[in-house]
Amino acid sequence: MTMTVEEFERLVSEWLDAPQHSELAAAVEAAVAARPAWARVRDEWQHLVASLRQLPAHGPPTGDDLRAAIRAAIAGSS
Amino acid sequence: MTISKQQTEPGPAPQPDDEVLVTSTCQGDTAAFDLLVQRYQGRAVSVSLRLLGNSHDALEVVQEAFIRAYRNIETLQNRKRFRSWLLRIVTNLSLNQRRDRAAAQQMARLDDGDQDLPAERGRGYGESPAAGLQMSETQARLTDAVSGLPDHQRTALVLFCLEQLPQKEVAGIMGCSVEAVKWHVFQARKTLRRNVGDLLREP
Repeated sequence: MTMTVEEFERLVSEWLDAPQHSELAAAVEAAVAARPAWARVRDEWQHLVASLRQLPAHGPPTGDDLRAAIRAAIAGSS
Repeated sequence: MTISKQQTEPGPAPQPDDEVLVTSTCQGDTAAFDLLVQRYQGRAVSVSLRLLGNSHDALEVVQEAFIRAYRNIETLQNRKRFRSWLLRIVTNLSLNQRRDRAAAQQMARLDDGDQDLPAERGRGYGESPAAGLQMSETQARLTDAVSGLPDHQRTALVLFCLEQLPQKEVAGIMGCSVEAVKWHVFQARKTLRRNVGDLLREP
């Protein structure tokens, strides 16, 4: 049975979430061996997932201000 | 024989786990709840900010989420799962806030007679979520692209890929199956690859 690009992308997505599963890695490599043009697809998915992981966990400093506001709201409501 | 300093000076006392703190809160111990706030405020703000793209609103949402959690803490059946329960409240409030803001902005624009909303349609915020943050151009474009994803895709991606929570916990927060989480993450990545594909190609 021939694998579609969508099915290949799904496989790559699963593999990138579970790189320790050697059978997924083998399936990806077998698909690329059969369709060398899919190597670019695999590489782009790898790049995307790595870039997402590197997005900074941005956020304003929370610290004492938020805690104090929550504490005050709870004290005021009880 | 000498006794090392490490043996004579005890380290910091271990922190009570969530189950203990939730039980104490249920018994009226507000200091216990304050420890839960301290433990999870950073994570809660990060999730809300990634979903909302607006730090002011994210702080408001997180404050409201903790207050709701406090008021309803006796309804929490599995006290070990405080984090998931809190993040479910944060997620729902963030998505509601985003929808409300988008609707309000659309109404304001229609009132102004400006019906042309090309770039911001569906996003809900006038400013880029990446605005004002210290990040590379690639990261800024990726952040904006994530912000433009449909709710389910964005939520699954934020919780699993960015916050790196386990899929099972994400499923609990979103109220869906693990398979559905995988599907939303896959769809999100596919959309992102289509929208920022130029960033992903080797020169």
